[in-house]
This record gives sequence, C-alpha cells and structure tokens, in this order.
Amino acid sequence: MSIMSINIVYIIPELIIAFFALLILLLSVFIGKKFDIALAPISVFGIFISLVSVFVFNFYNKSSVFNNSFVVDNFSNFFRIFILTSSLIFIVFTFSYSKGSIYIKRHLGEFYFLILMVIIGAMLMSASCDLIMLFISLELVSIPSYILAGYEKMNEKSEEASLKYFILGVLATAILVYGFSLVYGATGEINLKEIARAIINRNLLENNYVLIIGVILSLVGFAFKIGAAPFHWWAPDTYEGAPTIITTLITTIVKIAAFAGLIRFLYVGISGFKNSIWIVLFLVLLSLLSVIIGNLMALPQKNFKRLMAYSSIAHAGYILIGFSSANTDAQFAIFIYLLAYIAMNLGAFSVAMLVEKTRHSEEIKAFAGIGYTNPFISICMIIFLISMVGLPPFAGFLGKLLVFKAGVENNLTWLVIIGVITSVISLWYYVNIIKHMYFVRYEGDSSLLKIKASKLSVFLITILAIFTISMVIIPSVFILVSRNAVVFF
Amino acid sequence: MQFSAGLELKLEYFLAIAAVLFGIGTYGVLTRRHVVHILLSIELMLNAVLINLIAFSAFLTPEKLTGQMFAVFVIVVAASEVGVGLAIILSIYRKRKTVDVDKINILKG
Repeated sequence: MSIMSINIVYIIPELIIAFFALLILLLSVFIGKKFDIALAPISVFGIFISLVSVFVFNFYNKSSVFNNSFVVDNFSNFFRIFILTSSLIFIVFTFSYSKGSIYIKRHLGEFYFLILMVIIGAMLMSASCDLIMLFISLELVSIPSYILAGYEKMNEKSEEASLKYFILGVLATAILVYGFSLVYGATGEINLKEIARAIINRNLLENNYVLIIGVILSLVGFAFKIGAAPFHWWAPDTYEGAPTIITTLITTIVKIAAFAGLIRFLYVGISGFKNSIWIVLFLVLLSLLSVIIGNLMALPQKNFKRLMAYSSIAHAGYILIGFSSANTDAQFAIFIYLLAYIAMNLGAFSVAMLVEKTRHSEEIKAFAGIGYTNPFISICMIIFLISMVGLPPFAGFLGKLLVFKAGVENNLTWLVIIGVITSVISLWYYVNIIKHMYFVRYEGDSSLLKIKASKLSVFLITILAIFTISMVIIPSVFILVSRNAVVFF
Repeated sequence: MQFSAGLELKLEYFLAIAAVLFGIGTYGVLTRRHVVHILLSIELMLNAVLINLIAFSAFLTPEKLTGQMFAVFVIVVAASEVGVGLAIILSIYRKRKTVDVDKINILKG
C-alpha cells in the first residue's frame, strides 16, 4: 500500500463549503444577533465560490486520491455542480422562509451550518469510492437532517417528525453498515473498484451468498434513505411534520445524495449485479411496491406535504425501474430523471412555501383561488405538477420516457406497464391541486387572498419552470450532459 | 487463530454471534416501545457490525487492517448518532413528559 497521497486540489470545493460553514458558526456565536442578516448571503457566496472552484480546479481532472477512497471523475463533477446549483436555489428560498419562523430565526447560525453540512455530505457521497467514505458521507447527510427536521422545537409535529426520522434513519444505517460488513467479508476489500475486481475474478455473484445477502442488506439501507416502499414509513410523517423548508431539503438534496451513493455502490462496486437474479429481483420488487404504494396512498391525502411525500415515494419507484435494468442507457436515464425530479420538486415546494407563508396552512385547500389572484405563480405550479405526472411538454416526460425505454429494452415490459398505469392514477391527485387553484373559492380571511411573493422567489420559480420546459424542448443538450455525467473513472 | 489451550476459533463463530446480536437488535427495535430501549437495540445492531468487521479483518486480511479502520469509523458515527438522538428524546420529554413511541402519534394517515 502506498503512502497516502494528499492532493488537496481535488477536495477544494468541499473544503470551501466547510470553511464557510465553520465561519458562519463562529460568527453567529461571537457576533450574535446583529450578524443574522448576513448569514444567508455568506452561504450563497460560499456555495458560489465552491461552484466556480469545481470548474476551475476539477472539471478536466480525473483522479482518485486519499488512498483511492475519493475519486474525481465526470460523475462526481457533474453531481457536485448539480447539487451546488440546486442548493444555491434552495438557500435563497431559506432566506425568505426563515423570516416567518421564530425558531429558525432564533438559531439562524446553526441552521445554515447544518444545511451546509448536508451539502458537503451530498458532494462527498457522489465522489466516494470506498465503503467507509460512502458510510461517512451518508451519515454526514443524515445526522444534520435529523436535527433540522426537529428545528421548530416547540412545535409538537416537528419534534415527532424528527424522532421518527431519527429512529428509522439510524435503523437504516445499522442495516446498511451490516450489509457493508458482509460485502467486505465476502470480497476482502473496501474499495469499490477492488470489490468489483474481486467479484469478477472469483465469480462471487454466482456462488457466494454472503455477498448477495450483504448487497441486499445494503440496498435495504439505501431504500430507507431514498424512501422506497416497503421502507417508506418515515417519509409521510417526517415530510408533514418538518418545517416546509426542511421538507424541501429532504426531498431534493438528501434524496439526490442517497441516489448518488446508490449509483456509486451498484454501478462501480457491484458492477455485474445484473448477473445475480436475487439482486435484480429485489430492485424490481422495490420499484414495483414504490410505484403502487406511492401513487395509491397519495390519492386520499389532504395535506400538501404528505401528498408530496407519497409522490416522491412513487418517483423513487420510477427511478428504481432504471436501476433494475442495469446498462449505460439506464444510467443516463436515471441522471436525467434526477435532474427533472429536483427541478420540479424545488419548484412545487417553493410555490407551496409562498402559499404557506401567506395563508398559514399546508392543506391543499389553502391553494384555493390562487389561479386568479396570482396567475403567474399558478401557471408555474401547473408546469411543475404536470411535469410530475410525466405529460409531454415538460421535464418529467423525458425522465419517464428514458427510464421506461431502458426498462422495456431489458425485458421488464410488465413493470413498465404498471409504471404507466400508476402514472395515469397520479394524474388524479396532481390535477386535484390544480382544481383547487382554479375552481374552488378560498374560504378564509379575504385579506389573505393574494399570495405575497418576493421578486427573488418569483424569479427563481420562473427559472425552474423554464428549466422544466427546456428539458423537453432541447433534450439533446441534456442527454449529452447526462451521457458524459455517467462516465466513471 | 490458534490459542494455547488448543481451542481453535473459527470465523464462523464470530459471524454467528454477530448475526444473533443483529437479530436481537432488530427484534428490539421492532417490539420495544420506550425510545431509549430502541436506541439501545440499535446500538446492539451496530455492535454486531463491529464484531463482523473485526472478525473479517483478523481472519481474512490480517495484514491490511482495513476492517478495523472501518470499525473505528462505525464507533465514531454511532456515538454521534446517540448524541443527536438523546437530544431529540430530551426535547420531546420536556414537552410531553413521555417517551413512549405509541403515545407520540399526532402524525398519521
């Protein structure tokens, strides 16, 4: 084993975020309340510098450093850009949300510190090439999000959400790391590439059940984190109870990070997992249950956040169809789906946050009548919702099309048919929101009729809506990007 | 691994103990109602992981120590998780005077 080669250049983006996170924490401790106004701009500045540094230092490099546990390749660079851009948008939303929440306002320094920690974890996850690194970065994403979910300390719902998220998250971690230990035992390696080599050399996927049990237990752990059925119990409660801004974080960045880890683990580590009928069967089972349970359970929901929880379970199911058909086409389909997913989810939640801020309610009823008082925002909301259904001129369509195409090419036509049928079912509950926006009169204080929206939020919502449309208008650009993004070093 | 008393320890013994511990832990998480008991059960599961890792490391790759390094990381993460968990439990207890998971049930449906 060589001496650990320290090559700081490759982790500069993460280091910059870590620097700014600690800076925010120290400033908020020592300068205190007077400084709160500057915290969000500092975070935005840090993320922006980090984004620039990805382009400056890492974009054309390919290398694995820190004893091959950290790998800089196209996949990690694209994922870093992806995560940093979406967290840039996310942080701007926190800026207006935090003004309305007493508890977040009271501990603003820690709030931004924890969010930046989640972002570092997500970035490290996409670059990890080693079981230890995967485990640590998964925890770096999870532990701050347990705290953030319970951030409204005096709100019983928020506390309960945090507790449920914590217990099931830790259970998932224990199962995941037990699986990792079995994978390590079966192959004798912890580096993902060495694991892949050992599996091919010794033909382990066909005759070693310790490995297969290990992989399946790891998949159970990942399934908890991405919220795939039947390991989704925490999702609806946590989504409903947590502050809406944190729900947005959990559905977008945390979920994307878990998917990045899953892609690394399956496609780099267990690269020949298609040869094992058990692993493929398990993935198919996960995606089948997720699309069915997610879409059917969403039908009776009255709370917007709870509805989005089930909808995101269903989306995890659609993405898992891509995983169960393991080839390069499926990989870039997954990447495109993730791009579409994050854009439409960020958009829908940002509109919901604006509604919640004015009308103080998360029910679907609170959307009543905004089609007439705020026509522009409503049109954007329609774009996001129809995109989630997967109808043509929007991003969700491209994602679903490519994932289904990969499924059909790999003899999973029956699963794709179930996927299409459940998408049709999903139309019902998404259109229900649109119905409330246009055809239901708002029965509440008439001073709350018009949703107050700052110019910055409207600008970001517009960008997200344009992104959602442009994915279908110029798909070749996104397909080119995604094809390059799934090249592993 | 050979010991002086002529007792031979096999890898399988360690794996069996770890599997049993893991099973007890999972059972505890699913059946216990007190949150602290659930946390303890999760600790049992993580200890099973540690036994697994160290046993594999000692028997399969004694020259490399990777498994033992992994075990150190698992211990650190387990400690930080318990820290966060107890803070959440304490905050709930202050408000509701109970930590029974059956009684913490506002969110459902």
